Amino acid sequence: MASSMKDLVEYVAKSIVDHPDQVHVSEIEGENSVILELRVGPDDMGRVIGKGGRTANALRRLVRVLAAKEDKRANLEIV
Amino acid sequence: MSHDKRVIVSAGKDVDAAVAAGLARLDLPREAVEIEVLDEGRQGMFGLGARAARVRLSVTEETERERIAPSPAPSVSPPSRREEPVEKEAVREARREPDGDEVEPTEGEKIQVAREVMEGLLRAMHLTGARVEVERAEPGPNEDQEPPLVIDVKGPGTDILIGSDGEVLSAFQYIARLLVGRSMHCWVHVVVDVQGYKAQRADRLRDLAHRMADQAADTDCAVILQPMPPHERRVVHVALCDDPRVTTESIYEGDRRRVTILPEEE
Repeated sequence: MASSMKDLVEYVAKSIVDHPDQVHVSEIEGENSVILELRVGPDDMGRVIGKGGRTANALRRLVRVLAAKEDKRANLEIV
Repeated sequence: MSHDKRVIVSAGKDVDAAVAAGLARLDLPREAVEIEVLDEGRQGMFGLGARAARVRLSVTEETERERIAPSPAPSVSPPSRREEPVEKEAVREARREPDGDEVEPTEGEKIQVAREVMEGLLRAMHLTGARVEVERAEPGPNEDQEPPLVIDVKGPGTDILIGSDGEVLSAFQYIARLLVGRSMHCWVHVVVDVQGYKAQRADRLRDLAHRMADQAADTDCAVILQPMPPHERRVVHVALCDDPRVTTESIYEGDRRRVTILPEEE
């Protein structure tokens, strides 16, 4: 079962990009931390980052809330 | 998670994009579906007259059986949004104007799309106890403005979506607006609330506004409130717009923007 953080990032990214087939999210789990890596097609970078990084930041905030539920720290990286 | 995904309607900026989006949502290769082009769309100029291309994807029968047989873990990414019953599709076709432009979605369609998008988002966040209520707000003081579509999220576990001072709620609303806007193909003013947080907060802000207006009028000194997000500042401005003793104004920029209540000179 994928984590709620990964599912959230995947759902949102696939909904807002032009090429949902190029969306990949991987989760690197540490003891108390999780790093989520979001990959999208080159044309879609702007969409997931948003104006002034607003989309990326909003998504990060939600990811952290879900992580806190499991007493973890999380970070979302767009690569 | 529903499994009746045999037919979905997908949209994109051109036919290829619409097909790609639909396949990604179904998580199936192109061979697994039959594709029917409903609307080839139009690129338009500077976003004017542009129309999304729409395709109907029908999962072929063998694929459907394969999918059900090994009982795969429900994949979250392709939720049931934009999945429309076929007869509704026919209605929309019929409503299309003679020159081929699509008519704005009806109120019922907007509410339905908003609900499906939100349910998909909450499911992706594994907030299984969440319920979504969508309704059109009462008309505000400005009658020219269409009141927003208010999406209220309730249920166990959803309080984490508020955060301290509603900062998580503003992120949640931002993402929700983005998703609703993308699937609606037209701009709709959406307000997202969680467990009535904003409604309660608005009541408290109105009380605060009236108390501070009294203070400003009594002392003849300006009162500066705490920094607030735009919708909260608006509540204060609206609450005091009919108070002849004071005028209100927002000062500073960005996160520091706040309302000042100024006594009217006599």
